[in-house]
Order: sequence, then C-alpha cells, then structure tokens
Amino acid sequence: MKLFAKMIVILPLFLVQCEDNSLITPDYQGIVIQGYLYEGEPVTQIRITETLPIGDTSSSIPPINDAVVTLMKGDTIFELSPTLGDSGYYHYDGDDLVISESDLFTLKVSYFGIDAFGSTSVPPAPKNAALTDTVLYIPETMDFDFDSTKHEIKVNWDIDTNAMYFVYIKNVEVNPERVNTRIPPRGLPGRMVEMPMNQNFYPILFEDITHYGLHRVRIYRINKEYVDLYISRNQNTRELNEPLTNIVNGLGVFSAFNHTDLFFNAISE
Amino acid sequence: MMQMLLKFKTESMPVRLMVLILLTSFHNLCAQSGLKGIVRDSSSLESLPFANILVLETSKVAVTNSDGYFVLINCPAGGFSIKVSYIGYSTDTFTISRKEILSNDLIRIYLKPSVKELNGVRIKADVDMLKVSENEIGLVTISPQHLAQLPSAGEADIFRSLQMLPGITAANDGESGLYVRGGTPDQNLILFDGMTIYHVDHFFGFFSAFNADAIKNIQFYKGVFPAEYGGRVSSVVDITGKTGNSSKTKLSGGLNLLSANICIETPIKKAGSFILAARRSYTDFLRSDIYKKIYKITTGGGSATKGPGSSSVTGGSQTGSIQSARSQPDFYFYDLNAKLTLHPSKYDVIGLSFYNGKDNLDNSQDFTDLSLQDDEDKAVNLSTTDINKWGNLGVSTKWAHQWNSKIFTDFMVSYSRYFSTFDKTRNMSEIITSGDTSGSGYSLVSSTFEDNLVKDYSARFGVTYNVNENNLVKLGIWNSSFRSVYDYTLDDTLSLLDLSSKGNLTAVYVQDKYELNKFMILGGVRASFYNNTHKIKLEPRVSISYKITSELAIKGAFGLFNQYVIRIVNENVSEGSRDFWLLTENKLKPVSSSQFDLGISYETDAFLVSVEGYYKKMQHLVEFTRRFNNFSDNSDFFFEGSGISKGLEFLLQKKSGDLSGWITYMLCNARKKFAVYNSGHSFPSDEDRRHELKNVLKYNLGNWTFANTTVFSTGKPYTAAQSQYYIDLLNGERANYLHVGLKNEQRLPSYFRLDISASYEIKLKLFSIETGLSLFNLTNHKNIWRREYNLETFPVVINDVQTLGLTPTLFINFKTF
Repeated sequence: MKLFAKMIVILPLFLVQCEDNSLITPDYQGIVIQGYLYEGEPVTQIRITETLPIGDTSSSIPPINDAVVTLMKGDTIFELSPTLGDSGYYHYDGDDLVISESDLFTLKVSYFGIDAFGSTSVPPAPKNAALTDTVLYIPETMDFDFDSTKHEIKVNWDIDTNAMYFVYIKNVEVNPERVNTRIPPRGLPGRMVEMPMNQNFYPILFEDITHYGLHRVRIYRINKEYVDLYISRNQNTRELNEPLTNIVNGLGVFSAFNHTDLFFNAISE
Repeated sequence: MMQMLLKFKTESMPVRLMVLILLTSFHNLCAQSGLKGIVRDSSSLESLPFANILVLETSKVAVTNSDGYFVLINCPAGGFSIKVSYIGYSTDTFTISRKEILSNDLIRIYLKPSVKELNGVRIKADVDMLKVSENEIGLVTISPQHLAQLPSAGEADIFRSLQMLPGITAANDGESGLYVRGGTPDQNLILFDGMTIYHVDHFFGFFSAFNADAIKNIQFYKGVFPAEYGGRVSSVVDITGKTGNSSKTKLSGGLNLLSANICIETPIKKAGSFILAARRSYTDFLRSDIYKKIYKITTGGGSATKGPGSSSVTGGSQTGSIQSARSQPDFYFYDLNAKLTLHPSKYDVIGLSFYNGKDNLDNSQDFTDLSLQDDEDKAVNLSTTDINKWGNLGVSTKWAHQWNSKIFTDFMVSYSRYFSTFDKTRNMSEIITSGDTSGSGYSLVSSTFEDNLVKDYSARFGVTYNVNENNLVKLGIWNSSFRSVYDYTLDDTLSLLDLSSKGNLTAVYVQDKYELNKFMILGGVRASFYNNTHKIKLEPRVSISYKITSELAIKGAFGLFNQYVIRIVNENVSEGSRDFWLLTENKLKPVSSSQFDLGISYETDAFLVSVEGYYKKMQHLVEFTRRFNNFSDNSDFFFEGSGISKGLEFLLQKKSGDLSGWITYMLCNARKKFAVYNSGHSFPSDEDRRHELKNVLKYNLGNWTFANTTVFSTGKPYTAAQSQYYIDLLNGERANYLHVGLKNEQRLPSYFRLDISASYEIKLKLFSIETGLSLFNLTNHKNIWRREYNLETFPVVINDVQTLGLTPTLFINFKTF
C-alpha cells in the first residue's frame, strides 16, 4: 500500500511537465476602420470608431474624433481632418488628392499610441457596361403576356477573371410614384441590391421595381477585402471566428471601388 | 534456419523482437498439449466472450476469445478445478476430471447470469457492470445489460453510460459521442461484430445508434490498444452482438417516451441461433415533451411556424393568408440488428451480422395558395425543402474455427456504409390561374446541398496461437478499401466543395502476450500500407504489467497509431450534424498519435482502486473552416495542427453486491495548436475538461433496482466574443460584427448533473415485466450547452442555450422466459 500511495503522488507530475501556458496577448487594439475610396470622388468616407464591449447597452459604437489619420499615395502623405460633428468621419480638405484607377493607398490611424493601417488599390471600372433597353414596362394587371424584351432588361459588362462585382439599383426621382399593380413587387422600396458576384450580367425584372421613374444602375468593381467583409457578416455564433479584415492592428475594412453608372426608366405599361 | 531468419534486415527493433518471439513460440509448437473449452450462458446458451478462467491448482489464467472458446495448456493431468468468472454473471467453480482431459473433447462451461429468480432471490455476480482488466492498462469490459439500467434521458444508451467511465468526458448533454482522453469521437474505432461503424449517433448525436438489447459484450480500450486493432488514434470500442438464444425462442421488447423496441431470439434446430432486434422512434407522429425538448436543444429551434413574411415576398401593402401549410418537422430514427449464428461443428462458428440505422429529419414547409392583395386569380406557392438524413449500413460475415488446442483462426469480410445528406431548397412561384395567361408565371429557387458518403469494404484474417500456458500469439492481415465523397453545392450549380477519393489500406500485425509469474507483456507491431500516401507505417505497441502482490499491480503501455479516414468538423454551419468524413492523402495527411500510459491498481474481491495516467501526442489534426480564405478559392479550407493530451484518472469501484458502482475523478489537460489560431499558440481543445468527478451507483432491493449517476466538471472551453461593432456596406445595409477573443480562451460555467432511476421487476409465469422511472437532471441544474449571439440587433443579444433540465422518462420492458 505504501508503494500505491507513492505512485499516486508521483503520477500527477505527468501533468506539470512541458505545458505551454504562456500568456497570450491579443493583437486587437480596439480601432475599427470603415474606409471607402471611390474613383474620381473626394475622400469623405473614412470613419474611425472603437468597438463596444459585449454587455454594453449603447445602441451605437463610440466614434473616435481625435485620431491622427493619414492617407499615403505612393510617397505622398495626405493628412485627413475630422468632419464636423461627433461622427468619427474624416475627410481631405485639399483638391490635390485624386483617386484614380490602379492607385495604391495606405490608410494609417494613430490613436493612443496604436497605429492601425490598411492598404488597397483602386480597381478598374467595369468595361463595356450596357443595358439591353432603357425602358422597363411594368404591367398593371395580371392579364399580360410576359415579354422578356419589355418586362425584363439586362445589364451586361465585360468580366475579368476572378473579379468581383456588385450591382446596386436605385430610383433617383425626387418624389417617385409607387408602383401600384396587382402584381406585388418583391424588391425593397426604392432600391435593389445584389450580393458580390463573379458574373458579367444581371437581369432586372419588372417585379423588382417598386417605384416608377428614372433608375440608376451602378455596377461596382469591388476588391477582395470588401468581399471578405461581406461574407463575414453572418458569423456563426456556435463556432465564432474573427471576421476577415485587411486592417492591421485593428478591425474593419479599407477598400477602394470603381463603378459605371447606367440609367433606365420604369413606366406603366 | 533460425540464424538465417534472424538476419532479416529491418531497421525496426520491435519487428526484430517480434520475429524472435514468434520463432521461439513456433519452436515449442509440438511440445505442448492443451484442453479446449467454451463458456456459455446457462439459459440462452450464448457463448460468453472474454470470460476469465482461473486454474486453481496452478493459478494460470485463460481468457475466452470473441466466440467464447478457451484453451488451457499444461494442466495437471490428474484433474483440476477452474474458477470461471464473467461480468454480470455468477462466478462458479468447476472440476475437470482426468477422464475429460483424456477424452480431448470440448469442455462446456455454463454460467448463470445475474438475475432475479422466480422466488425473488437474486443470483449475484462477482463483477457487475464494469470489469477493469487486471493486466492490460486502459482495458475495460462492460456488461451492456447492466449498464443500460442506469438513468437516462429518454433512451437507455450504452454510449452515454460509457461516458461515465474514467477518462471519458461526460459533461455534454448534447452528444453521446465518446471523447476519450482528450480525443474526438471519430478517433475511436467502433467495431460492431467486426464491421467498422463510422457514425454512431441518433438524433443529432443525442443518442448512440446501438440498441442495448442487441449487444452482448463491449471491450473498451481507452488507451494504448493492441496491434490487432488499427486505423484510429484514440481508442477501440469492440462491440460483440448477441448471437441469440440457442435453447428456445424468446421475445422481449420495450416502450419509452421516444421509441419502441422489440427483439426476437430463436434457435435454429441445433445448428445455431438467430436474433432480430429493432428499435424505432415514433416522434414523427407522436411528439412527447421530452422529444420537443431534445429537438429544440439539438436543432436550435422548435416547431417551425414561419409565415410568408420571412420569405422573399416583402414590401408593398400585401395581406397574406396561408390556406394550407405543413410546418411541423418530421423526425424519426430507427436501427435494426440481425444476426445469424451457425455451428456446423462444435469447433466452428459461422456468423452473419447485419446492422442498419438511420435518422430522418424533414423540416420542409409547403405553403400553398398563399393569397396576396386578395388576388384570387393567381396562386403563390412558397415551399422549403429541408431534409437532413444520415445513417449506417453494415454487414459482416465470419468463420471462426478452433483447429486444435493451440490454433484458432478467424476470417471476416465486412461492408460498412455511412451517408449523410442535407438538402435545403427554397422555392417560390406565382402561377396565374385564370384568363388567357392561365398557367404562366415565374419561380425563384435557392438551394444548399451537402452530401457525404463513406464506403468501407474490409477483409481480415487472424490466427490465435496458444504457444504454451504463458504465451499467446496473434497474427493477422487486414485489408480495407475505402471510398469517400463530399459534395457541397449552392443553387444547384455553384460547387463549393466536391471531394471524392478512394484508398486502400493493408495492414499486417503480430502480437504476443507473454506471462511469467507476476509479469505480463503484450507486445506487437502493426505495419500498414496506405496507397494514397504510398508509405508503410510501423506501429509498435507494448503493454506491461507486474503484480507486486496478489492485489497490487503496476501497469504501463506505449503505442504508435495512425488514422486514415477522418471526420471533419464543419464549423461553419449551425444546423444539426453536418460533419463529414474524408479519406486522407498526401495533402490531408493521416492523423498520427503516440501514447504513453502508466498506472497502478489495488484490487480485492470486493473493491478496486486504480490510478492511471496518460500522455498522448497527436500530429496532423485537421480543422476545416472557410473563414481564412477567399470564398472563390476552395482549395485551402483545411488547416493542419497538433495536439497534446495528458491526464490522470482515479477510480474507486465497488465491484459487486447489492450496492455496486464507482466513483471516478479525472484530471485532464488537452490542448491543440494550429498556426491560424491564437497566433500559433496552443489553446484548450473542445474536449478539455480540467476536472471531472463522476459516480455511478446501483442498488438492488428485492425486485427494485435503484440507480444514480452524478457528473460534476469544469466547464467546456469556448471562443467568446470580446466586443462588437458595425460597418455600413455599399448598399446602405449596416452589418453587425463580433470581435472574437482567442480560440477557446473562455470556459462555460461548471457542469453539474444528478440523475436517478428506479425500476421494478415483476416475474410472472411466462414472462417478466420491468417498469421504471428515470429522472434526468434531478436538481434541474441550469447547465449551459453553448453561448449564442443574436447579430440581428445592436447591441447584440447574448443567449445561453441550456441543456436539458429535469426530464422524467418512463419506460416499460418485457421479456419471455
């Protein structure tokens, strides 16, 4: 029995040896960047915020208005200014910063000794985009013969291998008249969106239209970092994983877009 | 010749050693003679595998093989006595006369099972429920009939009862899978009558797929297992199915709040026996409260009552009404065991075993004549096909022959097939029902389809050779051809993953069990050739024990293991069981492990005190996630890592008597390391429970049987959300995100569960009835299964999904005499 007792004392040594219990420091520093650059447009869509701790009941995330935010284009550094109000948005005041196709940008946010940064390049605009028609007829009643040349238009563009696109359709009338037929529209009022896709066309059906009038079809060419963010938005909460991000020392996204606009009219048949 | 053979060039020392042992053994082949016998149940005449036979005059011990045969070599020529014991049976002593020895005929030993007799007197077993091997570390033999009497949640479940053993994690209400010493359920080799069963779950893992009525014996190697087994890296659960009553036809059955089962056993003249056991849930037409509770926990939902508002028909001023809808999920499971056993001669056994189990969940919804805007001229149909099916099919046939007192051979051919299908399709259509355009309309379809299939064709041949009373050699060859398919398709056309592969595994093994006085060594080596990697892997295994006194023994073991078919945990889905099996190859490498066990035990006739420690190192573990890759690139969803598991298990068992059972404490540390997680630092694996205290108690009082199980353990590790934020997307949508802490950095609160059961057996003239009540989680302790976050709102809402609270279960069983 003495030996038995000794063995019981010795055996726990198994558990003590060689354990990797080194303290792991999270690399997260609490800065969230929502940075969007649009080809040919001024820089206004840079938003810096903090994260909100789990358990906090605030309905919005706290903005960071006093960070040092710089945008680097090649060797040139542009310092961004906070936009008025407590929004966390930053913009560039001068007119010497032009966002052009293939430009490479790095955004750096310095806050409380932490430098968070991300890089992106401006993609080319979708090429040879065209609509099959500029008028889409909305039937008033159910008694109609579906005609794909009247009740459906298609937007086409040239596709680059592995390139991703995003189509966003919006009614641009000031006070558009709501479609009021016996055929219910299935889109969202005034706008219609599609998920990022790797294809060279998108069909617009009359059922998608909720309001009459002029509509803008914006075809975005989007970068991988935005696609990553998009597909990360449905986190599986049974097995949590960090959303994909291209921000180092922070969270969120910094991405550039290019787009082509087309227009069509939705009218009653 | 021996010298020539010893020149056999191999770099492996264990192989050299084994060759030497074999040569020595065969040298003695003709020098010994032995006595052949078989141990059977006294009433059903079923053979009893792995029974102990102790020769009282020499203290030599023999063990019956899987068909109940045993051999005694070098016994006293003038007659002797043997003491035969078997778990769940009354130990008895038999005298073997000189005449019987000289006749060289098969000795038949009959043991009485531990049952209550008609007069209410109980035949007591020396070991109830659980028998820990005296020699081999980590080996336990289990009596399914006795273990099935423990409290349960709905179904008597052998695997859930196995979770009460030391070294197996029990603190998970939602899974009947066995997490053995820090391993995962797919790392256990589950053999049912020799066929490999790949997925052993019913009801999304809540119950195991084995019917206790069809099982005779379970050999459970939870640590280093012998060379005759292979293809897995954690443990072996070798289940021997009942062969059926060979003396008369018997019928038994039962009913509980989830399912009904029936079992018929019948002799086939004097040539053998047949058994058919079937179990089916009736949850598709009668939904008890316990079914609803379990369904809600396992699927994350209850009965679906979705209306059209959740479909793509939105906006406008529609007023919807559902004219007809089927929204109640249909779920059922069944399993079927059949076995034909023939004895062409007293030395031959031919067996044909069949197993089929299936689960079917149909959560499809069909809304027809969904009227919108009061428009009577069109029909809007919204239908969702949501079908999840999985199951196993297995067939094995074997021929075993006792050639003489030294040689026993066993030839087996088996086929095993596992499948799972997940099909979720949403279809919406509008059909115009009147006017000139009647019949025209449109439809929108979106779908997700996952399909997994594993086929396993195996053949094996084994030879057991009793060299002498101290030396037992086993050698054999095992060949398996595998095929695996995994297909994951979106919208019928977008194939996210399409993996299909074939493989062939050929293994040869040799092992020798050598006993000398107080010393026992079981050494062996298994050599496997896997054609997908074109490599030969050598797996030496050795298990040693030394009896310091008749009660006190120390044991140790070491082994290397490889696994070629692995289950991938699909962490990207939240509905049900959609893990999938794949064959390994060059890129997805076979999982390998090495394990070292050490233990000490003190055993008397009434009690056992045992302490075992283990250290297990695993390589090429696989995690599957789509989180770290561009979704347009499907090739690199698999990540490789390693793991270490080490622990201590304490067991105090009262082996028999009116009050029997055990208390066990487990101290465990299981960690994994993947480059993609936690900056490459190790983290606690999902299976890690630092402390786990369990007890199993059973008390017989006349016709009453009372039982209790208790589990108290450290909470499960989980990956917690640390903070939250949102990003405005291009379309103006605001997407909420969680910033995730380190992998498995947090732990859920401690787990506690106390179950009790009581049953009463009535003996009538022709049959007996047993009825009882089981109370699962008697204290209604709020154990948390998982933590979920609702990302639809900001701030996100945390929801703790709790496991089963107090859950009563009623059951009634009968059996004819």
